[in-house]
Amino acid sequence: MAERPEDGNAKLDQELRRGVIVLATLSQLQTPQYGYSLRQALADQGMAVEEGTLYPLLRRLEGQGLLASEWRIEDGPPRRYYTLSAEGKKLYAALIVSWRSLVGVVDRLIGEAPAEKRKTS
Amino acid sequence: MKSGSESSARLIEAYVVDVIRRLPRRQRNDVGFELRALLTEGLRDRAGDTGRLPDEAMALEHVREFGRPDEVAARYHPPGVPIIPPAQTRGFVWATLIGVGLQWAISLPMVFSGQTLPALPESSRLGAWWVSYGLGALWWPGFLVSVMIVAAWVRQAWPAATSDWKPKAVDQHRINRPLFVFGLAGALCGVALWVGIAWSVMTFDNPFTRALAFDPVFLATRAPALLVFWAGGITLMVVLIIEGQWRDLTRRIDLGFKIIACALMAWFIFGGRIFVADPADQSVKGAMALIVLLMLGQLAFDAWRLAGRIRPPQARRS
Repeated sequence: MAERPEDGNAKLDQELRRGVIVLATLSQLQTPQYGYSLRQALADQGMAVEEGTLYPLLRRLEGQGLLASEWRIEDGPPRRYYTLSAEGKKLYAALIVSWRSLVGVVDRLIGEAPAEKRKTS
Repeated sequence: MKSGSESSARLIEAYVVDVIRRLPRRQRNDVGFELRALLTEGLRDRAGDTGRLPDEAMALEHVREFGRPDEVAARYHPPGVPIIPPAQTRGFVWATLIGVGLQWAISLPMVFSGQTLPALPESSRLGAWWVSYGLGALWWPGFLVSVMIVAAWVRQAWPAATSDWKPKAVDQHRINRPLFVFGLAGALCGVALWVGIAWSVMTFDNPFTRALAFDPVFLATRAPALLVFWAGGITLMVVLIIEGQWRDLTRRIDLGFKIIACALMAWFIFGGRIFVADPADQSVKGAMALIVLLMLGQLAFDAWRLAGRIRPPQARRS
């Protein structure tokens, strides 16, 4: 069955966002957060991430040694809090550099597009 | 109301169990505990947003939004090594279908004609075929998967060695001279053998020469065509060895020779006797039929390779 254009667009949008979820997540884990509070923190700043994507991601990042975690009991049931590990901090710094460079390049590219259009029309 | 909360908790519990049973044993408890707490908290907030207490329907909606248990479990796994890489999936499927299809195509008529399993009555042959050759043909996909598993393991164990691309043949036109010299020697030996047989048959009279005596009609009509064909083929090989490479002309001539060879052999097989004695005649014709099949396979492969070459697109001039 052929893919509907809107499905394709949604997928591309999802892929674009997926690429930055790791960076967004690392940015919020300089202080310990548990899954739900992290999701809220991201959503409050306009970066809504599905729970089904975020929670497994935390585990995978921990498995890669980028996050450290521990169970804590504060005001409620036990919760697993995640924070950046030393390795995670290094990666976060490197990703910021890559991101800024990428944003600059893409901004230039997007900025050139209308001019190019004008030239050809 | 309390029952609604209980049923939603039970539903979340069932969902969590469904997810963690797909995870490695050592992760299950930890992930399960965390996931249950997170889902419960999420459901509580959702209920707060809607202004009602959580119930089963709300819990179901919540976990459905979270994702199918198998998909969620897959997200917990680190990215693995695919056993069949996407670029090889199509080839794998074709190899599987062709391999199984060929085995069935050969075994089914043999069983139904009574060549194999002759003692069985006709009514039970299909069932007997299915439990023997039919299911037995599935060794082939199993074998292919095993090969792919080994290949995936090699890719993972030696990523640097397997990821570095090496050219197979930079110059596709250059020929392998030693191989062609060897082939030329083989062709000359073949000609000498046939001519030697013909000469000894005409010169000596003993059981050996009688067994290999050529049919006089073959010698008078079809054999000269074979000699002309051999002369042409040997000349082409000599030219290629001297030039050291293929040219478009020599490639076309080679293609023509292959087609002529198939036609000649088909003529020999169906055009009457080659040898006077049946055993020699039948075995040589059997060998020729096999060679024709191999050559047709080679021609099909050449055509496929030619089709696979990168051709310029039909571009519109602007």
